[in-house]
Amino acid sequence: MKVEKLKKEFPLLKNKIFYLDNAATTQKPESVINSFKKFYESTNGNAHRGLYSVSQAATKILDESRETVADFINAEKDEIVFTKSATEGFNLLAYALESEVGRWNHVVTTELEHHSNYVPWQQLTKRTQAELKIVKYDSKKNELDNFSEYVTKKTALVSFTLMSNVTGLMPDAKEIIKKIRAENDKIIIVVDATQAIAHIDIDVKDLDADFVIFSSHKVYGPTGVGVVYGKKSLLEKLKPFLFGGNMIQEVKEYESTWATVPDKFEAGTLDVAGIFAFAEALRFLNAQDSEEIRNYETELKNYALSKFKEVDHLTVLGHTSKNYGPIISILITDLHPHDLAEICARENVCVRAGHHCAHPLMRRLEIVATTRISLSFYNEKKDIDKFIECINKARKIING
Amino acid sequence: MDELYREVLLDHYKNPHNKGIILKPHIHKDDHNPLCGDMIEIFIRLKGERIENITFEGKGCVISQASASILTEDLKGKTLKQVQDMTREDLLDLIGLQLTPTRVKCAMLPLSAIKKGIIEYEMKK
Repeated sequence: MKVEKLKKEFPLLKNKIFYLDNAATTQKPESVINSFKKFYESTNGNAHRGLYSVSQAATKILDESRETVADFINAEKDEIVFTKSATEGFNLLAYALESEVGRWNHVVTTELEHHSNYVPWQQLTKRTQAELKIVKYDSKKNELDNFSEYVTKKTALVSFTLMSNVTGLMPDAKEIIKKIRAENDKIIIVVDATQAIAHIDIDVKDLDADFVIFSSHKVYGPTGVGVVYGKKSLLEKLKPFLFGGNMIQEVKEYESTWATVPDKFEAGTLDVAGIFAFAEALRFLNAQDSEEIRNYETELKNYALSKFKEVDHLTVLGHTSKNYGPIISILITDLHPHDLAEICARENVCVRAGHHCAHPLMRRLEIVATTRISLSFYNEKKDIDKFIECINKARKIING
Repeated sequence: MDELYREVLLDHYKNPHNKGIILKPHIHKDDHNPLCGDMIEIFIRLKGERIENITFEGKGCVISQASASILTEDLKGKTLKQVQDMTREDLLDLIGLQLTPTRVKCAMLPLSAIKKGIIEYEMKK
């Protein structure tokens, strides 16, 4: 793959930086950055509000961008709800779905989840007095327990990730969803695609989840934009989460009625400039050869794994099969993740140290922190080599 | 290479002062940094209002453990009031470091544990 050429599209990467924290946020191509200027210079108006040209233009841009996002995951345009982040998306659902969860019901999530796909459900069960069932992560087999042990006729909702932000593990989502449906076809299924969206092709029709959540900034778009995909029939049924402008059909003195979907869930002025820039990021990706990108990311991942094997006292979490994305957490016996990440930072090697907002998984693994690298198509083998160099350097500095 | 991991600090990390436990301490408090899991356990023996002996047990990064070593060394003989008045800046001056906000939390872990321990002790009195 012509990484050098692709990398040139990302202005920040022109600096001497070894950016290996793509699971935290990705860098942005120039076209995405420029789209903000383009939007504010020529089409800035409040979408849906004015009859004058710039408001009309903003409305058109919002509409077209929604279509671009929908096409990216093979959804329909009005099945796409914009939020400010994936986290807000999970909270939106946890409130909107409250009416679907009774105190005799079970809500199922897993130990593999990021806090954003865990705490909203935990709190939902507190509000509704439903029971929270947590699918265990088997740290010996490096996989989630069988969902069928947790899913019953009492289950109202299941939510799980397509790709762990800590280990990169990709549960077999299609198979899991099929089994859940077979057990109980009334269950609402939510999947967290926040990490997966940048690394695998997602077709919501093929996947058959009811809701799919992700954010723009983890897939080369700007911060401040999240997406909730929802099956239209469900979106129509659910109550709104935020109230205010744009989501209204009519406000009477003591009662209100709601706009149609997706507007019903989009109270307040949206970040239209951000949404436009996000659509630009997806256009950028659509213009690449996605198979080539996927293959290259896998090649990089395998290179990193082979390099890690050569380092003494280093353990990789998981990665015992092919079902992993390019996210790798490591533990080094004689190096604290913070010390390693700090010494990396001095060399402008950007890696992540900590619990990665995944306390339940950390507890299951009986660890408190890892050092994580997460790769993108603009990374090169030399980025990984540099990280290995930092490990050796840190070892020399700290352990003498 | 840089001052963060300079010799004196690494020496405190590798050969910590005042590491160990005190039997029957007046003040005993453990604390941890949820961000990175660093742990600290503080033991204080008093003579009147002054710290007669202070030790710690802990596990964590260079900064948190070296900070505990340096801080416990400094606090011997000080009054509880003096310890409570100690600010973040005082601590950073003491260990002689400029830290990023994330790492300040590492350095502050021992001091915050000690202060919490003192508050608990005062409340019990």
